[in-house]
Amino acid sequence: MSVLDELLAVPTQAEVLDTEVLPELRANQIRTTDWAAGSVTRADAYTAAKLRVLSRETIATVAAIGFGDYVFGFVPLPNATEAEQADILLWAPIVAKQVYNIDAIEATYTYRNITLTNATATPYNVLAGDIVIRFPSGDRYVSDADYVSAGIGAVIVSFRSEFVVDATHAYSDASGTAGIEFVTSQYTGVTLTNPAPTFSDVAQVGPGLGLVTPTGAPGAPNTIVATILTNGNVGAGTWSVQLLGGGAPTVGAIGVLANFAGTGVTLTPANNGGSPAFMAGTFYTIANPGSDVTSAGRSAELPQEIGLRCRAVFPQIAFTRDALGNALPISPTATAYQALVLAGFTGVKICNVSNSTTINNVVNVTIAGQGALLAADLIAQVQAYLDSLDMLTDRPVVASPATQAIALAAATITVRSGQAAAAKIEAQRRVVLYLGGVDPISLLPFGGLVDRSYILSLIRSTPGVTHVDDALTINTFATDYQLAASTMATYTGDQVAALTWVTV
Amino acid sequence: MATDYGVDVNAVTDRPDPETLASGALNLANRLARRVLTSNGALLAIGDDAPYQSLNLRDYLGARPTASDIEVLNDAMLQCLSADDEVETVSTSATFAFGALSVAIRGTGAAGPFAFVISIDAVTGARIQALQ
Repeated sequence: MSVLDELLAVPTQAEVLDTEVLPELRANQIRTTDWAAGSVTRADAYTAAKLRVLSRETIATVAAIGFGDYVFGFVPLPNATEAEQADILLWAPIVAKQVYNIDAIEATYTYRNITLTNATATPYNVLAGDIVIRFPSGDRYVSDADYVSAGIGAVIVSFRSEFVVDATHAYSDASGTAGIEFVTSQYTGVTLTNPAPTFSDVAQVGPGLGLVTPTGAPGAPNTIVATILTNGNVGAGTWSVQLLGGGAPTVGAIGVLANFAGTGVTLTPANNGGSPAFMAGTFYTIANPGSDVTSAGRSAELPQEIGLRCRAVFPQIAFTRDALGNALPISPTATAYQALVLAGFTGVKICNVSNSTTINNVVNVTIAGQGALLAADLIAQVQAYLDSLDMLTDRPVVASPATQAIALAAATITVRSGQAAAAKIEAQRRVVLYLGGVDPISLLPFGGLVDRSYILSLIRSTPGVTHVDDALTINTFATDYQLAASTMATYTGDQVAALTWVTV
Repeated sequence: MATDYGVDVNAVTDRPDPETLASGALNLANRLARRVLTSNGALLAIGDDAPYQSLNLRDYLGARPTASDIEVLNDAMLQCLSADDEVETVSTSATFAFGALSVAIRGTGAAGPFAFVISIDAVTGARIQALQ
């Protein structure tokens, strides 16, 4: 056995009694003959053995945290209990800071726009923080802005999730959810909705007062990027407008583009008082549909995630530095790209990097939030950041992944009647975390395999559940489901509600 | 049939200094006293999961029990003391006076009769006086 194995091995209390404590008592010829439970010498022996085990656990912990594989949770500690494993992982943020000078990313809140529709003439003026609402999922949100209504009409108010996103609070409520209720004082005649706008806010990166406004009735989700090629106003400057994932860009004078690329989206540029209104190099990102979520929260960084960023520090050591000592990555490695993006943008939860197989020098940087696509403006910001590094041979292209909706069906779950309601909520939470790619045990990456047996285990181990049959289907298939390359799993609604729940 | 009650450190609430040993009826008295001065489940904290019924008389210190309460306490003590393998018969008599607790315990063990009194007049202190 190596020295490291000896340090990491923690004996049981019984082993310590048999191999260390009792032999020592025997060697000292202890005269005690009363060994019944409650006797003094027996209690002494058990206490000494217990303290010895605790000290060995401490030794194993201190030894393990010196190894990144253990402290960041990439490799389980040999022969360790779950509690001991968890103790090791608690050190991940400390090691990240002390060794790599990397701060762990903390959890954040989810913010969303809620529409309060007043059907009466009664005015309301409610301070921020005084309205609490609840979605049918049980998630609660607190008003983040004042609600002011002069009477009949709709007002959009920003709400913040009650807690930060974590393993028990995903806040993944979909846009257009019905049944939102007031938790605090009732406001007679006021109803709550969270409709998704047709378009997300247009994200502009670069200078210029010019605006681009999307209208129309698009069918499928789209992301359109309009890049200004030459300075000018509408009709004078030129731009390149491209549908991401579509064909070649449309290049020409800045002007109205109706039903662009057959998407149903009409782009209308306006000078907005500028001259020239549109500046070369500036680009506008237009995406549909929008979302009532204005800022998607994320859970605290997992030990594995911290570890990936820490290990990406070393590839950055070779980066050229600017006058301020900041690293200027020139054609960094894939892990360096990930480190740059994840460190610079806390809203990015998942970042995949791969070389394009069709275009030289293109590096596909695919980013997403926690089980959700990112807003167009954030994607534009990440693109602008990587573009600003002006790497010699790399041309990074930042985009959201394709999505594949996942629908579970057909399984029959047996649950104790007194725990049925809580079990459904807990099972949904577990499945949502897994499909959202943030399950701490089994990460589901882009293009990954949706593991049917793992989903079954998540449901079966939910407190109150006594049996799950083998009929579960994922998108109608009773097998594992392979996501297409660079595709993220998404879900809508309550996945487990579609399953059959039988109470006993 | 046991012929003695074994030898152990002579301790009830704390180790003696210098350390002395107890044997015979005194050791049994110490052992039984520890059963009624140790909170139930306390041995689990040191990893000893052997069956061990116990209660802590100090929890009753300062109480103003009714006759019914005293009867319940006596029953609880009987249950704990009877769980000792070497106790054949046992009786207890608890007395409360001005917040102080005194318990007289008598019985017959595998190696003969025993009798002692436990007096508790502070949260951390307890005295035991073996009567035979």
